[in-house]
Amino acid sequence: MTDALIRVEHLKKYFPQKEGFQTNYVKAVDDLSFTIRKGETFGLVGESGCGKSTTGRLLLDLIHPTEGEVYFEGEKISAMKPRELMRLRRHMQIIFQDPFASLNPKLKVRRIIEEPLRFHGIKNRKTRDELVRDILNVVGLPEAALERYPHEFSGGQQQRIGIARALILRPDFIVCDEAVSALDVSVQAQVLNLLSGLKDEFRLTYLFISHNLSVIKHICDRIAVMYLGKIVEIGDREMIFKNPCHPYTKALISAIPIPDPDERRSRILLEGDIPSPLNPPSGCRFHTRCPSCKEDCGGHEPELLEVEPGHFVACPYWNA
Amino acid sequence: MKLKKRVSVTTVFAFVVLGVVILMALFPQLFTSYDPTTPDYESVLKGPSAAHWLGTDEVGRDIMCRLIYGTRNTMMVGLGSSLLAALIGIPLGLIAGYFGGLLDNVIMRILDAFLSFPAMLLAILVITIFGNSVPSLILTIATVNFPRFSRVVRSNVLSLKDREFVEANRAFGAKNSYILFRTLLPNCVSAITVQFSLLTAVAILVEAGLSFIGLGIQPPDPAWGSMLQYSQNYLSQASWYMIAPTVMIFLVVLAVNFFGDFLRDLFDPMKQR
Repeated sequence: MTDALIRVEHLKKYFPQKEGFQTNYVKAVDDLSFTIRKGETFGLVGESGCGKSTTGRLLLDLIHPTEGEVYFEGEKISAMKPRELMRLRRHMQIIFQDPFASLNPKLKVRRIIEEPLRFHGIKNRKTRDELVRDILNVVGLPEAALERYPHEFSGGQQQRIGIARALILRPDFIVCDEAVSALDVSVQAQVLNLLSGLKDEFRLTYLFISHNLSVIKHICDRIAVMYLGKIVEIGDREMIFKNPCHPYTKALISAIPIPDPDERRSRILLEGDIPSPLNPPSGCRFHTRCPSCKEDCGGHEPELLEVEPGHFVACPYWNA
Repeated sequence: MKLKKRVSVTTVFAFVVLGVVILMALFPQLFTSYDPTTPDYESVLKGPSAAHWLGTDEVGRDIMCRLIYGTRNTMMVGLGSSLLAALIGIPLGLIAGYFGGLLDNVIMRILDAFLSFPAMLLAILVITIFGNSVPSLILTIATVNFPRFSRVVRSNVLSLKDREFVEANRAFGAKNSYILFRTLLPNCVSAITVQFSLLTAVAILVEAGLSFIGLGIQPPDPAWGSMLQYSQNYLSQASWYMIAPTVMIFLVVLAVNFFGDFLRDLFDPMKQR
């Protein structure tokens, strides 16, 4: 592996659910392993409830894993002392799904953007002010925005404020948790372009979490598809979109709307709902809804198989 | 914070009433020429007249004078106990709500114990230990009331702490103390001000109750609550006696409420403009 920025090994997160005397576990993230290389945009895609956002929060140590490890530039995050973790936070930031909910409604934009600077001990007011003005410029907001409150802005502008806040410490790695899902399509495009531009300018690495395959296709270099807490397929963008191997990925890709009314295509319709992560199906978790399910699929959990260099699929019948 | 916007009627009312009350508490002698404690057996339970605007009480003291001299005690007990209760109750509520788990359980169960304790019993206990004085009254009433602050704040924090801006704070490396007092607390202000004005009113009335069993402000020192208490005995002979303290308590409670609204709007950026 070349230049891994983030390495995830056997990451698990189980949330306990107490029911009477019994404690069941929601297996939100169940045994994930992947690496994110320096400078790439890594996409994490899947339905709601498949554990994408939990994964993002685990990487930032906002919640602690039940099992498994996250390494940032080779350093184990779980073994870090509070001081080292603080230093790490300078390098890892997050952009949230709901831009308004992620901004404290009681604070002016200036204060919101400079908060991370305060947390990291940049005491000089002048320095802070300069940094804030710089970053505001970078994300394309007018300086007048500084003295206003978050609710006075549109969704797209609010998200720009969120981006400015994430960038102000000049991080290396940003988790974009559904960063454009709450925005209008036209605004989505603006924000996506802004994010791509920033990536080059600040040499960033993104973990881009989304349920929207079109967005993922637009911005990501490598993609992991998740289903019920597990990765079912992982590979470069072209591999995933040109040659999807897992039945679930195939179904997802066939569901992307094509903006051409004459285009005819066969859609793979999945039946039923996503099963509860409280009690996931045995064996391959997808077998209850899989259009090409075989007899033994419920029997054993499929391993990730390398179907071509850098392209892994968790389905033994990917070739069938 | 800019104050250029139109000031509402209720805010003016709050400032006027509280301003006058504070003046009365600080300089009662400016408002009346009578002495609040000297009896005048010549004029017992007289109705309002040119000499005694609000009449006289059961030993012939001027009611308006006692009302004015009673302001200090009443406001000290009312506001003092609410302030003390807020000072103790709010941090506990913040901590219990934010950290949750065992700590939350321990704190809240202790507070439940305080809440289930009868106020009067507690008052007797505190006053036996510390003697009968305004500070021990403040302490007593604050002890009874602080769990209410904790509960309100805790429930607010529970709904706030999983919001993304709090999570953002953590992601950007904020210390817990920053999250508690700089992020969560300002977002609880509106609930706190409401609770504060309600408890101030309650404290003034509790003082009245304590006076009744001889644990409040000691006669002959005046206080609104105890005046209200004594006036009950003369309801049929001197019905005007009770009106004055009632109106004063009502006005002050209303003013504190409006002042709370003013504070809430001041801290709520969405209400501006």
